[in-house]
Formats: sequence, structure tokens, C-alpha cells
Amino acid sequence: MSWFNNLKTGTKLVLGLGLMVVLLAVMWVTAQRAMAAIVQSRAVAVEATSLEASLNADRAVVLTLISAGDAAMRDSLFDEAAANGREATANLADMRAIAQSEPDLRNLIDQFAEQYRAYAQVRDGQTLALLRKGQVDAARGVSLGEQNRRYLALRPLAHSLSDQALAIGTGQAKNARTTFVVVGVLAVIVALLTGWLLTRAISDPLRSLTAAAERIAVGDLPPEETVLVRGDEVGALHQAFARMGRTLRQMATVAGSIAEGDLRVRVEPQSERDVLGKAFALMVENLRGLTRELHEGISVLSTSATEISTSTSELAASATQTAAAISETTTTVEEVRQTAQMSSEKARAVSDSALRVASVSEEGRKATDDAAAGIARIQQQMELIAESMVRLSEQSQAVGQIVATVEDLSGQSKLLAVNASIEAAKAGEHGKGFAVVAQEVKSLAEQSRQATAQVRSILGDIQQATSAAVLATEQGSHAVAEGVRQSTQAGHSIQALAGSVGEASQAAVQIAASSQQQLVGVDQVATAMESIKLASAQNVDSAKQMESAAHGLKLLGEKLRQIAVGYRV
Amino acid sequence: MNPLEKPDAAARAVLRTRAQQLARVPASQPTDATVDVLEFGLASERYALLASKVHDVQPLRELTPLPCTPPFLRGLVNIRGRLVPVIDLKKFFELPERGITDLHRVLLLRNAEVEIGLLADTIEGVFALGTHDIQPPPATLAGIAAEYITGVTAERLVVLDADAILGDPRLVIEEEVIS
Repeated sequence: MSWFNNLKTGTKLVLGLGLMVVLLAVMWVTAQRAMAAIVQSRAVAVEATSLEASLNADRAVVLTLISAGDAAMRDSLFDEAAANGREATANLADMRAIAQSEPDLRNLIDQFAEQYRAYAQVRDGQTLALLRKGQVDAARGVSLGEQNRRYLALRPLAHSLSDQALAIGTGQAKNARTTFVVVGVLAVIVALLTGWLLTRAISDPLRSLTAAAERIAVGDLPPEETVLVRGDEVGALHQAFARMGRTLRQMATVAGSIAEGDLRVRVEPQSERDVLGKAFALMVENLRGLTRELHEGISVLSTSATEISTSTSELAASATQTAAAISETTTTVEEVRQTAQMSSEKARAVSDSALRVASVSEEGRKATDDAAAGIARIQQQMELIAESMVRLSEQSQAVGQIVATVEDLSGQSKLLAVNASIEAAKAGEHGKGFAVVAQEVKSLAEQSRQATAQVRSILGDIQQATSAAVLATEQGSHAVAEGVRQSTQAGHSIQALAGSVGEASQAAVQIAASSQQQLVGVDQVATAMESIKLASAQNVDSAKQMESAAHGLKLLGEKLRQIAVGYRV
Repeated sequence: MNPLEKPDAAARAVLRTRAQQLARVPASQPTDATVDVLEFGLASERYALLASKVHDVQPLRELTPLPCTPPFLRGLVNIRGRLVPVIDLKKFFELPERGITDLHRVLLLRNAEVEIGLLADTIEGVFALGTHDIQPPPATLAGIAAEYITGVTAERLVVLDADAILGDPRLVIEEEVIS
């Protein structure tokens, strides 16, 4: 059946329909021929009947002529007889013409024609000629003798001819019916077969294609399907459909790759007029360029966002530092203001006190004069004290010598007492009393030694004190002399001081005024610093907001970059 | 309330009992033989000699050092026309040396043959010392110190033997110095 499938659909249809047409033509021709045969047979039968009728009429005419005497009537009868003879000849000719294809019939016709010629010869040549000549009897004899026998022979012949023709026609009709039935059944079978084949060859693949197209229409791309290898349009349609499926799958693969972010795919247009492929290629190219630009843009954006974030962080930090510094400055300015206020008050107080100091310095100058005089008296007294101290020192030296002598004496006494004790010990029992005395002497010597030690100690203290007093007196004299000099200097100084204090009091008044102005200025500065502090706090808030926004921008940049990394160019 | 104003009877009784106990005659002290000793000081230690063995005590005056003699011989002094050698016991007892002043004393010892002076830093005096109080010197001592010491009292007073010092042949000096 492959040759059939490889045929073009048009050819298939033409073949099928042509077969039907051929069958119809066969039927038509068969019908025509059958009809023609039947008509011929019928015509032969009719002609035969007509021939018999004309024969009968001719006999009747002849017989009438024989019997009738009227001349006029005879003339018309002669015409009629001639007409009958011609009609019969014509009928024979027609029959012969009709029954060309029927040999049996032709034989019969030839047989009939043979006999009729003989009959007509007799009739025309003898009977009618005799009649015209008026020889009625002769004519009668001719006509009733041999002629009548011929006539009687012709009648069954005509009957059989007619019957034969009818029988042939009936047979032909039967043959024609059988042929119709056979051909009709054949035509039906062929039509059904053709229809089934065409349906099978065209409709089934189209149905499967329709199902595939339905799946494609709802987006279900079937995997690689078996291609129907056929030479006809359905095969071509299948192959074209398969190509379309491949193209669609390629496109779907490309679209899938693009959807997964892989833009490295290459899309080759299937042809010059591949709108979808070109559009895909252009789309991929555009997407690639777009993604590349997006990459660059996102990179720039990310970098810029990072820089902005860093900058805003630094900005926020510096704004905070600035705010802190401004806060400190504000505090400092406030302190400065308080200090300025205090200094203003102090300057006022100073200017007040400077005036008092001026009067006090005048009093001080007088007091230094008095002090100089007092110090001069003290100097004289100090000289007297110095002389007394020198004398005291000399006398204490003398006392020291005396004490040394006494101490030496006490030592010798002690030694004597010891020797006395030794002597007493040597004397034994007799020296007991002496030993007691020696002990007492030793005790006395010890006491005197202790007393002299005390005296020496006291004298040492006295001498130390005296020396210190002498030294102090000396220093005092020097100090007094210095005091005299300094009191004089102090007098001069205090006079200068009085002048300076006057100038200072004027300066203090000016300072108080300046300090008041300074206080006003510092007040203004403090107010301005408060404003700056407020502005700085707003700056800090703004910087913090900007920092958070920049952070968000940075995060967005990071996110975009991660998204963009998913698209491989 | 001041307790001194109104002492009660119990306190009075306690005080009376305590006064009677304190007023008791102490038990009779054992009558013991005593010797008179001359106590003197060398450096920070105290020494003594039997007073009967000491001839005299003189202040140290005009000490004349002798060249080419051992260190314990500090020199010669003139006492009443006699030349007496002065021995420094501190050399024997390894006591720290002090400078010699007028406050030093010389104990004169003499027997039939020799007369020497012992240098003393201080002279305390003559005291009676019970012979039972003198304990033998510790056995750890050796050398010249052990030979000179008679005994030691509980008050760390070292009693020296004058005869041992006088009879010590090592104090006889015979040295030649070849100049």
C-alpha cells in the first residue's frame, strides 16, 4: 500500500473518483447498448407487425380491386396498393437496417424479404397488371392461387419475426439487468473501498496531527515524535509539522534557557522569513545587550551605593562628631557667657575697688613713712641687744671652764674613793668602816659628777641658745637694715602704686564697659550656637536617615547584583 | 560614783590582807661568804677583779707607746716614779678598740716580781659579791680568755684572776727587731 500512500492526495482522489466514473461510464454504455438493442428489437418487432399489417392491407386492397368495379375507386386502390408496396419495401429496408447486428433476425428478414419479393413480383407484375387491364378473373385466379399461398406463408413468417425480435429484446433486457446489478454492486464496493482507503490515508494522520496541534495550542510541546515518512501531502504536512515542533522545541529550549538566565544561547533563524526565530534572536541579542548594560549599570550602582553608603556613614559619623563638638562648643560658649558675665561683674567690682584702693594706697604711703621711722628705732635697739649677747656668750664660756674644773675634781674624788675602797678591802674586817666612808665619798663624787653633768648640759643649752641668739641678733640687724631699705623702697613703690592704681581704676572702668559689651556679644554668640546646635541635630537626623537609605540602596545593589549574576551573558 | 570616796567593807578587807602580806619580814637570807670585787668596764662588757689583789687605781696620764712591741702592750706610764707597762685586755677578749683618752684608768697589779697596769675604760667601784654567785666559765671558752677567767656571775660580770694575769709568761716580752 506504500505506493498508494506515496501518491498525491489529488491523484488519490482522481483515482478513486475516476474509478467511479469509469464504472458509471461502463454502466452508461452498457445501458445505452442494452437500450439500443432493446429498441432495435422492439423496432424490428414493430416493423414486422407493421409489415404484416401492410401485407394484410395490401391483400385486402388487392382483394377489393378484384371485387370492385368502380373505376374511380379502383384508381385510389391502385394508389393505395402502390403505397403499401412502398411501405412494405421501406419497412423491410428499415428492418434490415435495424437488425444489422442480429444475424438470426437478419436471416429471418432475408428469408422474409426473399418471399415478399416473390409475392410483390407476383402482385405487381401479374395481379395488378391484370386488373388494370381489366382482366379481373385472371387476376383473381392469380391472386387466389399461388399468390394466396405465398401470402399465407408470409404471415407466420412475419409473426415469427416479430416474436423473434421480441424474444431477443427480452433477453437483452435480462442481460442488461444482470449487468447493471453486477456493475452496480461492483461500483458500490469500489466506492466504499476508495472511501475507506482515502479516509485511512488522509483522515487518520490528520487526526493525529490535529491532536498534536491541539496539544501545541494549549502549550504542551510533545517530545520528539516519529515522522510519518510518506511522499504525499499528509507526509509533507507531517514533516512540516515535525519541523515546526522541532523549531518550537528549540524556541522553547531557548526560552527556557533565557528564563533560567542563560543568555549565551544562539538562535539561528530557520529561514529568511522566520519571524519568530528572528524575533527570538533579536530578543536574545537585545536581552544580552540589555543584561550586559544592566550588569554594568548594577555594578556601577552597587559600587556607587557602597561608596554612598560609606560616605553617608562617614557623613553621619562626622555629623555626630560635629554635633558633639557643637554641643561642647555650646556648653563652652555658655560657660564663656557665664564667665563673661562673672568677669563683667568682677570688672565692675574691680573698678569699684580700684577707687577704694586709690585712697587706701594713699594711706599706705603715710603708713610706710611711719614704718620707716619705727624700723630705724628697732635698729638701734638691735645693736644694744647684740652687745648684750656677746657679753653673755663670754660669761657662759667662763662658766664652762669652771664646770670643767669641778668635773675633774669629782672624777679625782671618785678615784680616790675607789682607792680607799681597795685599801679597805685589803685591810679586811678592819677596813669595814673605812669602806663605808669610801663608799659615801664615792657617792658624793658621783652626785657632784652628775650635778656638773647637769650644769654642763644646761650650760651647753645656754651656749647654744646664746649662739643662736647672737646669730639671730646679727641676722635681725641685717634684716632691720634691709627693712629700712625696703621700707624706703616700699614708700617709693607705694607712691608709684598710688599713681598706677589711679590709672588702673580708670582702666577698670573702661574694662567694665568693654566687659558689658562683651557679655552682650557672647549672649548673641550663645543664641547663635543654640541655633547651630539645633541645625546640627537636624543634620545628624538627616545624616542617619541618609545613612539608612544608603544602606538600603547598598542592599538593593547587592540584591540586584545577585539577580544579575543569575543572567549569564 | 567615785570608788575612792566610800570604799566598802569587802574592799577594805582585801586591802588589809594584801598590806599584811606585803609587810611580812622576808625569809632570812642565807648568810654567805662574800668577797669584795673591783668592777670595771671594757668596751660594753663588765669585768671584775678581787679588790684585795688590786694595788691601786690611777688615772691614765702621759702614756708612752713602745715601738716593736705586741699590740696588747699599749705603752708605759710613770706612776710615782715607777715605769709601769700598760696591758690592754681588749686584745685578748677580742673587744672593739676605742681611742685612748684621759678618762681611761689604769689598774695597778703587783706581786713580788712584776708590776703591770691594766687599761680600763671605766671604773664602777668596789662591791661585795657572794662566792656562790660566781659560776665557772662556760666550757666553750678557750685560749688566753679561758685561762684568765675565774667565773661569771648571773649579771654577766666576768671575774678575772689577777694572779693568772700576773703569772702569765706570755706577757714577758723578749723580741728583737733587726733594724
